[in-house]
Amino acid sequence: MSVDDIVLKTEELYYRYPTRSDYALINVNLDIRKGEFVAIIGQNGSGKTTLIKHFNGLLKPTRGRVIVDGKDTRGLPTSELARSVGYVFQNPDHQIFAETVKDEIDFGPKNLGFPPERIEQARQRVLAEMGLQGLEEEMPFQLSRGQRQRLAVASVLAMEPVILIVDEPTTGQDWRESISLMELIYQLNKKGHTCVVTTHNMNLVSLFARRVIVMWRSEVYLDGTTQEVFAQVDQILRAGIKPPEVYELARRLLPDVRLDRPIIPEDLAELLVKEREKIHR
Amino acid sequence: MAFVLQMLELGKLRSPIHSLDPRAKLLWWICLIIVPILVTNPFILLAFTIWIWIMAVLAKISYKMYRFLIITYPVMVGFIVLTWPFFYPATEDQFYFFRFGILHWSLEGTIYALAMGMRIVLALTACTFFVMTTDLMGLASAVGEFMQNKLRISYMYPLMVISSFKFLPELSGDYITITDSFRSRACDIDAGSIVQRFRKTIPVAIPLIDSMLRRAMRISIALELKAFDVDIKDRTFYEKYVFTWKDVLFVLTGVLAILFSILAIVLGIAKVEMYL
Repeated sequence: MSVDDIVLKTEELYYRYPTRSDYALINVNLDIRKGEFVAIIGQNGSGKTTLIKHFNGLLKPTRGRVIVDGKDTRGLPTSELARSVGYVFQNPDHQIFAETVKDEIDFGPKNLGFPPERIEQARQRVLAEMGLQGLEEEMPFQLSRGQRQRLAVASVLAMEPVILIVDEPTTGQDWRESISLMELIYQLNKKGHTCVVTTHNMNLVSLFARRVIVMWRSEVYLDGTTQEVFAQVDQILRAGIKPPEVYELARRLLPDVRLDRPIIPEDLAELLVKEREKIHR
Repeated sequence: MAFVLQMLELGKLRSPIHSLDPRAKLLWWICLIIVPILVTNPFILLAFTIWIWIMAVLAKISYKMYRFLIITYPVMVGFIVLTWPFFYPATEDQFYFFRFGILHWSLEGTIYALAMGMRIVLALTACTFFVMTTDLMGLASAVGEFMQNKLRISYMYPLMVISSFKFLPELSGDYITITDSFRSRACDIDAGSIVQRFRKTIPVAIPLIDSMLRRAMRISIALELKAFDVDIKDRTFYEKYVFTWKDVLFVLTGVLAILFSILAIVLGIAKVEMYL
């Protein structure tokens, strides 16, 4: 990967809310490359949301800078950065307002001045991607929570952003809905979107993310591949996060095995079988 | 919004004034609002204003109150002082700075405008002092207790007032999140002409109202789950408010201010006209 692949960069980023005396972000230095699937995790109040709000200019650095798609966010309004960065809020009801699903999806592209044909194409594409076909004329408030969450993602995706940021996408959703939404984000990532997700659900992180950033006390505490981060059980527990059980089991049962990719229970079972075969041989 | 919240927070400080019964401060405030209705003599009004400034020191809010008032006085009073002279009846015996057709500006008009401004200054100072020294939740609770026990009026009405204050920060938070979500979809709420900006508030209002209604429903369910019944007339209150001699004394200072104003009327020194 080259420097040109970096789509999002923070340099010595510090942020302090106007009403607070302490810093909400301290010396954050990150490079996020094109096509990465990054999970930002941490306790409540660790600075996750404050950090991602810098990625589309909702917050401007107190010190340092944030470069998005080659542009310094300090000089650009969020409405301009929205061309490059799509930001999906935690609660879909905070952004839904239109009478129909169609109008809701078209809102962003219209604000960006897309021509009608492009809006139509974008709408059809995101409806298909988010599994909302046939609901174009439905009233958004009558959709299920999961559908409203997908609509929120669709209405952001319709603006064709390079980077997709999703804040706590699975809050208030059951496991099936959570998996389904994360699967959709994963598919978008495979198509080339750079995805940044914040979540408290470590099992989903271990299933989908390829890179994990752990925030603790306003700083980046750990940053690495999913397996690298979750393998550091003691450190991650110190940051107030419980890693998925499968990593804890892997660490205890197979302390000498170096994980080269994120693991799921099936992988652990496979590893154990291999280890048993080695012993028997 | 944040500033209003900070002002409300000041009501929770500890000082001899803050420790008084909120109902005593309410009565005192009402008295001080009556004074500028009775009196237009700017010197008397100024004397009462200075009296409140001194009490602000006792209440340990002087710095914040002065800072707020220094910004607010010109905004609230400036318009009156600048426009009133134009509407002051023009007579031949006035000293005119200029007179052109129906437009005129005289010394007498200016004095009258300053007197009117001083009425606003006193009322504003009294209001600010009252808000900064009174915990509005405590006031609503005390008034609610009085209404229920003495007037047999349901606690629901004071509770509505309490709730509206209590959920102001959350409403503010929702508003910020919603406007942020619209900015993220390339809709800059603060950009464009007044008409454009007004049109942009419509999509913001819908999720905000939705969020408020959902919150109101959740609160009403939570209240019922905690056995709140609007028709109950004998609910008890966690905090008991009792009028002490200090409270009576404080209210008396307000009553004295009214009596002094009446005396000024009797002596013929209450009106600004004595200087015209």
